[in-house]
Amino acid sequence: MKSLDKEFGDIKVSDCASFERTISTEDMNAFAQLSGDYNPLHLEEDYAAKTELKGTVVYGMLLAALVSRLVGMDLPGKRALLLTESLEFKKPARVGDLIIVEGIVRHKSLSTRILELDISIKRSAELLAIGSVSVKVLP
Amino acid sequence: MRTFNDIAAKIFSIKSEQIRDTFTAKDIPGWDSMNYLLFIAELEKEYNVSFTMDEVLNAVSLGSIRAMLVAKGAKI
Repeated sequence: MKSLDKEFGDIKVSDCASFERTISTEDMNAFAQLSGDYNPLHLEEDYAAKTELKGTVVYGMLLAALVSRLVGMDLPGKRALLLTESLEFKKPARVGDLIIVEGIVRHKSLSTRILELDISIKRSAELLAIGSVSVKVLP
Repeated sequence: MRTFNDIAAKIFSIKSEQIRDTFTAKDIPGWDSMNYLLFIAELEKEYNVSFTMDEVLNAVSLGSIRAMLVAKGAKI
């Protein structure tokens, strides 16, 4: 996969990018191995079903990692240097869900080459998480 | 609207009441090059102003940044 290469000057406030991704059991297992987080709420259906979540829940940081993809591959792409990321989780995502990750440029600082993007993570029209990122666009 | 001190406190991880206009990067451990740029970008967004690269490079203290904002008409 090759990242887009948007020049800072070509990016405008309200520019947006998005992609879809279905979360698989393999994604969950890979994330558990990568992070070392084997919490049963994410991996063990029998345990998770007895909690108030009523089933396993996709790792929040797996969703956050998809934001990294959005920034690093699409908006702005190749020149991105992610500085901050903030997410607020509203509803749980489940394995098998088709997740839509969207970013919209909310502010562009000419003096610092920093973009602020509003982030939304949805399942169809249902909002699962909202947040923002600050990204420096390298020369 | 967040105050200048609120933004500085958040970005540099210091208490708002400790902030002094005389503070420079030497006085604030969290004031590194990236946090400084984040601070500037946050001020631009909050007060709807734009700095030039020269202004960003030449500002040395919180007081000088505050003065630049005032000069651009920001009500802080």
